Amino acid sequence: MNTKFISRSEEFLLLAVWRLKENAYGVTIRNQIKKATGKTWAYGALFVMLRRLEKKGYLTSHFADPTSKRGGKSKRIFELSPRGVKALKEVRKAQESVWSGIEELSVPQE
Amino acid sequence: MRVMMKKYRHPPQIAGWLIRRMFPDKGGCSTLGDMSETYHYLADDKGLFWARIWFWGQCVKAFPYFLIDELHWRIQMFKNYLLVTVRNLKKNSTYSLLNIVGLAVGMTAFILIALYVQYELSFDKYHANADRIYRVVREERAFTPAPLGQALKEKIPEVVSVARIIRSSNTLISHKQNHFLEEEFYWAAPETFDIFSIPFISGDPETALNDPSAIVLSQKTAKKYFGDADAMGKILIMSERYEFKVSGVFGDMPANSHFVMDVVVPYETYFRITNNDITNWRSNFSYTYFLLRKGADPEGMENKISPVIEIPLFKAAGLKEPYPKIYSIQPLTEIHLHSHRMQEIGANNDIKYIILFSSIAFLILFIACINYMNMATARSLRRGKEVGMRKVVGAQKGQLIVQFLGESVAMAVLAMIFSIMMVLMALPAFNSLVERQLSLNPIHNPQLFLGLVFITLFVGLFAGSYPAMRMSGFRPISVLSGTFTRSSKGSSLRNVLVLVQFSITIFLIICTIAVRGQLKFIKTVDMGYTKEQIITLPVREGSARQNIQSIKTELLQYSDIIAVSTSGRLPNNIDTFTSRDWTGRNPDEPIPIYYNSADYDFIDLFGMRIVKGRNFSRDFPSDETGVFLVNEAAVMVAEWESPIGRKFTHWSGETGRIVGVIKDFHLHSLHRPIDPLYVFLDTRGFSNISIKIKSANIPATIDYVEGVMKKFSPSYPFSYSFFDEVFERAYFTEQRMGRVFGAFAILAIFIACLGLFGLTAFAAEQRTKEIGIRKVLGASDSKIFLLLSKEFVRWVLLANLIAWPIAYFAMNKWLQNFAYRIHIGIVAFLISGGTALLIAYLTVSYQSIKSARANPVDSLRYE
Repeated sequence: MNTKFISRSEEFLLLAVWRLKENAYGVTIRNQIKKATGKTWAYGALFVMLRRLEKKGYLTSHFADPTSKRGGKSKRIFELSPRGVKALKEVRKAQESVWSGIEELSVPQE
Repeated sequence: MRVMMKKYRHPPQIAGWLIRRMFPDKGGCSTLGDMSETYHYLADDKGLFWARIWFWGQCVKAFPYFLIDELHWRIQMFKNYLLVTVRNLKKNSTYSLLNIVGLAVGMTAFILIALYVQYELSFDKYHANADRIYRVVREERAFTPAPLGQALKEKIPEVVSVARIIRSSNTLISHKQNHFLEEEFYWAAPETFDIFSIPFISGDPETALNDPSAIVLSQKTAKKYFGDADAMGKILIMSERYEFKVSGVFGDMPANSHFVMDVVVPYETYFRITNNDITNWRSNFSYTYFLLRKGADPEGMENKISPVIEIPLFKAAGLKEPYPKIYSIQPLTEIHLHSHRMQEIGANNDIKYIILFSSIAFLILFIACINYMNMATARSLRRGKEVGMRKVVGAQKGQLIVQFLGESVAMAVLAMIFSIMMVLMALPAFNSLVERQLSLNPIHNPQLFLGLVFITLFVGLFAGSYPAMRMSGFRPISVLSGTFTRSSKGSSLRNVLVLVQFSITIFLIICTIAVRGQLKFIKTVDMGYTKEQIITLPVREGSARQNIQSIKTELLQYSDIIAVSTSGRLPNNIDTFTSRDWTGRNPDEPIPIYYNSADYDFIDLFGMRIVKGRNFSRDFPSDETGVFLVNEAAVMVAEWESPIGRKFTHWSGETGRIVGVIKDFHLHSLHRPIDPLYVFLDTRGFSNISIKIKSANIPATIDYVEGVMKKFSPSYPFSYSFFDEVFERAYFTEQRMGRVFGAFAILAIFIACLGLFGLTAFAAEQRTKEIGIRKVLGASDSKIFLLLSKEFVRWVLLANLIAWPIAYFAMNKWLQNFAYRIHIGIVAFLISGGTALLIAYLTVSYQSIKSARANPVDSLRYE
């Protein structure tokens, strides 16, 4: 495996998109992340990350559903690409092997 | 479900616009949509006010992300550009090296000349009041009468302060057993330290020169006499007679001053010691500087001198109108480059040379840039595919231009690094060429640092501009489909560039030949006197003068000394003259005549010829009472039928007969025609001893002369010069120009050859297939060679036609400076043309021969 692991925030984003299925767009992704991690992301950060993930090929997107609440602006609906799924599996595998055998994390005693 | 049907509420317009600008999202604006949606919910939950605050907060928070993102993609692109640049450099290392070396050499020449020009332009500008300091000059001379300063201060309100200065070079100063001849010895009014910014290290500049026997020294001079001890209050002896007490030490004056003082004594003391009258308007040997009142108009001030000072004097002398205007003023900062008067305080430079050198610098930099353009466009073919590819995947023309300009700037940066190394290596040699102490030190010279950055950018952008425009304009379809093979459009411009390069080169070669020719002419032309095997000693003190007969006798006892003579001036530069009616024709119209005083042996020692009458002779005891020789020019100007035996009057009033006519010799440099001259027999008043020696054992002879001189003037340091060196020294500016031209012509040729070499290489490469086919069809090696070289040869020949008239015009203009000059013959043009052609041919032939001898099998197989 030559490519680098995706970063933690990228992992969160990809997972949020996967959980949301067909309804993954800016507002829902942001809410999902807040629900899962308790952290509120700025839209600027969200957009930059999403765009970068898309350029890297982990996400695909299409425009849909311009509602009036949105001032007539389309939603950009994101979907996980096969590469994205693969990247998620890779980090999961790595994560499990790194954490394997550790029952409880505590400060080592002297 | 009424609640859900609430009307859409517009988020803040400006913030919305900002978000749209930052995240355009290909027209979809989904970010703005997402934010609007959240805004909508928030407005429902918490009210419009908080929603607005939230929206603005998001907008502000987004900004850093936007910046980082922008940077991220820029860096991605830059990485790619850099990668491509480095790959190109590596892949075509010869080409890159040619390009960088060419640019570096051009930049080196430019930086060296720029350093020199900057230095020359900086003269006298360091004085705090530099823009208000002026010098008064009189007609064509820099000397002014002593009372002028006083009159200026009293009668012209714009004049704040006046400094009068007299220079006496080679003044003997002694401290105990230390004797030195001070070259930079000045008699100066106390105001000097007021007007000029000369910081004192000890002593008070206000009062330092108030005491008539005060002496002020520069730091290095004080160290020379007293070492590290405090100089203040110490006694120095001038000319073994006059005691002066050190009353101040000032920091050494910078070398970029038109006069550099080392020893300063009070102005008025000069008049006391020499018994001159300080109020005498005929005592013309002072330099007068003044400080203009702030805001005063210099021209208005200049116009006042005539009515307020000159005219009353003329009236008092009983002269009739119209009165000539004899005084004018010059700004201090212009003296070094613009003043070429007689009796200048030191050797000045000429703005003409500054302009000339600057032009050469720009020409060479220009040639180097052309080189880059040439090779880059020639190479553009290879990059065609890359350009096509980039365009296909969406690169804009602007982006490509930026990419190629970036590449050329990178080249320029590399070239600059090389060039700085070259400048550092070349500086010592260049310094001795121009006789300056220049240094490449950006700390002391922040302008220089900015200048280097600017040159780099300029060269990068200028040289890269044309290739960038051309390459970015390639059409992807023709490039990628393979129909784009040879660019005939580009080659015509490349040829024009070669033409320009070689025109400049040939021009510089012709200039070099012409300047050298004139210098050789100066060296070899019959000046009317001999220069070889003569040593001259300056004499400035009484004991040598009183004992001159004994000195002469002792010197002549030595077998390798042939003759000894004393004279006021040496024959190469007789600058003393008097203006009066010496022809006896028209008392109202004084004519200047130069004069020299000399002893019996002067004419013979310098190998001059007497064409009429006789030389001064000891056989005629009456000669002792006053006799004259005149030159042919004087006889001609005076229209004397029989000059021999005429009564003549010396400027000091002594009279005598003219006994002979000297064949005209060049009593000035060759810049000026031969003027009327008389030589007065005077065996006591002289400033030079000339000694004709045999060519063998010169060091031993000089030792002997030194021994004799030490015996009669023990405290004076012995100094001597070879007359031929003194003679050549007068043509220093011309020699320097010749050397600079020569050096830069070679550089220009070098750069032009680099360019030509690169171009041929690519021409040959482009035509590999053609050459292969030609050979298969039976063309001989020599035919191919001709085919490849004839194009360049044609352009070089054409370059001759352009360069010749320009060079002819320019050099004729320069030669006008000489009253006696060479004619630039056709030979100079043929030589320069031939040299350029030969060099071009040699450069081209390496590649041509290589391609001509290549096996067609290889060249046709290359696909």
